Amino acid sequence: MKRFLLVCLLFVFLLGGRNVFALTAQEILDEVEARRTQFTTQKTVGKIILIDASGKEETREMVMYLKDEGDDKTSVIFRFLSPADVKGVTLLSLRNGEKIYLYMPAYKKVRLIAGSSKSEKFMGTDFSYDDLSAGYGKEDYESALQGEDEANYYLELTPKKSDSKYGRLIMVVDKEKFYFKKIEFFDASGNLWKVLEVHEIREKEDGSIQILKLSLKDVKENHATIMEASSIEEDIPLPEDFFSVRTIQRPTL
Amino acid sequence: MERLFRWIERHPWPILGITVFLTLLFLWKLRDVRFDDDITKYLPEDDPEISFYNSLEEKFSGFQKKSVIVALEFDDLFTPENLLLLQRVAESIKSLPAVQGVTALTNMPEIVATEYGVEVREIVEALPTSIEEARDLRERLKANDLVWGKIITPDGKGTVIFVSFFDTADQSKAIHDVERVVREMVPQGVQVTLFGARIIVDEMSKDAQRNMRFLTPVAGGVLLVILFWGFRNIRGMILPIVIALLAAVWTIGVAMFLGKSFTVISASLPVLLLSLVSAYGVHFINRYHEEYALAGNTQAVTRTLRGVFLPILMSALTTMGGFLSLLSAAIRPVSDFGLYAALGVLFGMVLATFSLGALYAAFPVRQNTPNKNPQGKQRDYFHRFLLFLSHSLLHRKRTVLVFLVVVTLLLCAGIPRIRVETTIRMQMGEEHPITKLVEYFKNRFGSTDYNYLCVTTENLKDPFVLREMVRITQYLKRFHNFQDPSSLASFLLDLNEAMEGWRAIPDEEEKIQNLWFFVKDSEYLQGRISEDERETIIEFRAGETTSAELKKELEEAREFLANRPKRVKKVPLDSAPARDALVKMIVDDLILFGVSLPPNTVQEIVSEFLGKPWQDFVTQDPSFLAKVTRDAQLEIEDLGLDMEVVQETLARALARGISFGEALEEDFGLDSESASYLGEVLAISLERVAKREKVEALRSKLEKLQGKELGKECDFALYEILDEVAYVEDKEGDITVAYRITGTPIISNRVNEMLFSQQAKSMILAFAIVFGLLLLQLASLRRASIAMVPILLTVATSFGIMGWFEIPLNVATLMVASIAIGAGIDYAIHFSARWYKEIATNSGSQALRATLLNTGRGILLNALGVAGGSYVMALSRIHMLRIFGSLVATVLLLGVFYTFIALSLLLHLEEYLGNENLKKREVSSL
Repeated sequence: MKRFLLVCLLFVFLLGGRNVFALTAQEILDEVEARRTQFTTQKTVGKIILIDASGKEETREMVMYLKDEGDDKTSVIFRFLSPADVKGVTLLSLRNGEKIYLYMPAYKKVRLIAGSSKSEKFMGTDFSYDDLSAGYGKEDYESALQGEDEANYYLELTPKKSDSKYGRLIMVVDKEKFYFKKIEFFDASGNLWKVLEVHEIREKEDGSIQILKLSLKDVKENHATIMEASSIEEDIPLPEDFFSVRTIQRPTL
Repeated sequence: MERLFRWIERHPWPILGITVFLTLLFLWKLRDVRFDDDITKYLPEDDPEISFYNSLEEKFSGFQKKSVIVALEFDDLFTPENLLLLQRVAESIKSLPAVQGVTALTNMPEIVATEYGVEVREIVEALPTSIEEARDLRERLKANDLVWGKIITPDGKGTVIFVSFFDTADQSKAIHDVERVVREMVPQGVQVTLFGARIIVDEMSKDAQRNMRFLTPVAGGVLLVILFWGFRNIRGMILPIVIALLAAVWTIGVAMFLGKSFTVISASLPVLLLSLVSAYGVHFINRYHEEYALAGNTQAVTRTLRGVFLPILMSALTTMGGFLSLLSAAIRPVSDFGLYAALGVLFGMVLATFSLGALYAAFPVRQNTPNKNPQGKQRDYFHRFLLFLSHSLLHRKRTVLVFLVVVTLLLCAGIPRIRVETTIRMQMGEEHPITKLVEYFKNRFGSTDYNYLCVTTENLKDPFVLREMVRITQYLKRFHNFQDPSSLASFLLDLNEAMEGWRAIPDEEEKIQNLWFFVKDSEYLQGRISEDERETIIEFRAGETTSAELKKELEEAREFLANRPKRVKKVPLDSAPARDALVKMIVDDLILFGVSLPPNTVQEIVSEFLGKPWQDFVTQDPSFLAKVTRDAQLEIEDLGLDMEVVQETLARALARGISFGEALEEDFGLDSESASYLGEVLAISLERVAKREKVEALRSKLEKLQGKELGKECDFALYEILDEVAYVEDKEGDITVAYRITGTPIISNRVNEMLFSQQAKSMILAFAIVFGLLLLQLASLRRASIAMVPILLTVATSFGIMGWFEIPLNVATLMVASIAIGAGIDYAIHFSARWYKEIATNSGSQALRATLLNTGRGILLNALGVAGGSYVMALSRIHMLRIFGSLVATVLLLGVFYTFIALSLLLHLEEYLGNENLKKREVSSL
């Protein structure tokens, strides 16, 4: 269930930043990382579409509230709005998952839950915790600029850790707005494994970028996950005790 | 035909060229030889059991045929260092590109109910950092039946890592990579053992190839000795063996061109062909030397072919008939072997006539090395034996007849003792490394075979379907072949226990839908549910049983499944029939889960409790109220309130008959919204606790009556008393479910079942083919029928021998009867032909003596040669081949025995009774 939270973190991670004129691979990555929106609270409404090997789609609508708790800690409430069988299932994560609570409407009960393996997929999506939580900074990756054209930079990232699932990543970064348009993940043998693509963005007035729609395809298993935000509101007023066990039991947040 | 013979003699070089070309071509293809002895491939893919088994791999990623198990044996697994090593090894394996999933002690999920809620976590969430923590973990895991003795060895030293591969992976390479990674990581002293179907198949393949390489030269050596004895010249020794070897090479080459793989039993092919086909070369060379001696080199090849082509052809056709009858068997190793062996015999016949003819035409002998004059052999042991035999047959007929009948009856008495067995131990032998590998895993980690129950329904989340899964699992647990069940339903039982405090499947689908999120999180469970969520598999470990036990258990399991309701509808409990249906279901379930009271008694108690509302179990007792506040602990503490004080407030509210919200507002000064919220939470907790009390009261009553406690697993049945709906069988019902069992042991059982029917089918076909060929050759129904007698007796007694010597019927021994018919009928043909030739001009006694001393001698030598070659297989490391070779050889010698004795007696009797002219001749000769 912690994986709901990870979906939220992905959205947070993918929000934009500001322009710079860096040209080395590391500087490009630093700039992509730097374009994160600054906010105290945020509300995102969107949907997750799971596409299986036969092409069958399953859409889940969700609403998510975030609060910047300082010290790089974020609290999250994530609720499914549809379909009917998951409607109302709500997750509360306090301070980057220090405590995670789950409300199950059918049981009319909140339970404290624990997390699961970082490398496993979550909620049947094609993302793993590592895919979502890992940045592409110098701590984890060696980076090299492979080339560029009028629109993009092409970077090759090589994991520093020998136990990484990936052998290398090829990242396409937009030259003008500094967000990654596409990342190809290759396994240790050099075979293409996953492809992440950004399909829709919004550039804010301060130049930071919000990603509204992206997809991740697992080429090996022929599954895909699409994440789409229909609205993002920032710095909205929320009660002080909003991120609480009591809130997630309410029929309406 | 004559033109063909002359053409061969005139154009030897093109024939030799083609022979050499084809041989080189097929030799080149020998590098592609591969073995595949997977029992799931024994039956045709369109066989219902096989196609269903194969379909599961497409539906469930957890149903992995492509997988390997890695066993690690430490001095002590439970040290911080070794557990860390285990985790690292598992992670390194997982990072391999071909690896889809890894399950080890360090990442297995377990559901833990905590004071506040539920954790779905890994069994070893945090690795121990001290030896004390490691010891604590060891003690905790000892209580876990699903782990101790299965994932961890009973002595706590060894553990296993389950590795599954992607469908697209090259399994042999993937296993090699896994082994390399593991061996690089573990220090010396840690024993690493890999196990899996592919490893067994690869090991069998290597062994089968070793067999071919080792046994073929040995069989060749044995034949060389026999041929040297017969010919005393190099060509006579070498060429028949070369012909047989070429026939084997051509056969294997053709199989490779057809893209076929071999099974272990195919490894006997070169040895068997050496034994059977070398006789054709012997016939040709023998005759060539005779012709050369008579008229020199002029048209020697044409004259030789004129003399031997038809006999060799007929002999080949009858042998091929026996082998081709195996094509009717729907068991792949048997039908493949029949095809390859028949092809080998055909090639042998072609090579022994066309190619040998061409060779002798191109390289005629310069000086005839006379074959050992048959007259010169007259005083040897064979001659004396045959003379004794003919004397006994002519002068001690009754004694011989009694001897024949007694021997036959004694041998046939073993027939009822025949059994079917296709286990690895039986195939490979007790001392074989593969058997030892299998035994190691069985002894240390339990069985490595799995059976599966596939559940198909419209909606897997339906409580009825999930409950049926629990009931079926509970029933099947009594069988050795359905141990340690693992299913979606048992996972949901655990989850519901963590959520509500009892181990049951809730009757509300909404609750199951909520729990489904945890199912979605579990890679293990997702691998056992189809994409459309309409099918799931329940996995069982199959314990070691005999084929008969497996068959019996399967029959009982299938009967139970056949009687389960397949279409039901959900009805509210507002009618008597609905309530009766619920009572019956609860009673049946209580008995299934261990209640030992008479059904009527249980029914009365259940009916009584079903009529009591949960409100009857609400009390003001402090222990009851403490349970309520504990159930709402998260919410109480979230509001910063004290549990004990809230408990007192609850007691006052119940005593005064006011709402909890009102009491909370009064006692704690909470705002109305907060008080109302916590009041609702406490009311829900109160209902939950009261329901639990109701069920516990039912449990106590049953336990008191039967005088023993009911286990936790009985929660499933006990908590059905809280149901507000019943499920009744209805042809119009909207809830449907179907079940089907499969698994490698089930496939093995299917193969066993088919062995008897296929044996009968291929044997009847072999008899029919051979009888047809006899009719053609002897041109008389009576004569053909008489000639069939020895082979019928041979086959019958061969089964008796199998029974007496406890040789089970399996894919190898199944073929022996057909081979015996095909190869052994030659003896009857040759013997009858010579008899009828002799009897045309001689008395019966003279004819019998002449037949035995001349044709009988050839038959005996040939049989000894073939049997000698076949007995070489007894040197094989593979038990199945040892038995197969020994049995083929024994049965061929039995064929000689019955030809010499039974056929002689019958022919003599036929002559005595039937033909007046022959009778007169015999009288005159006396």
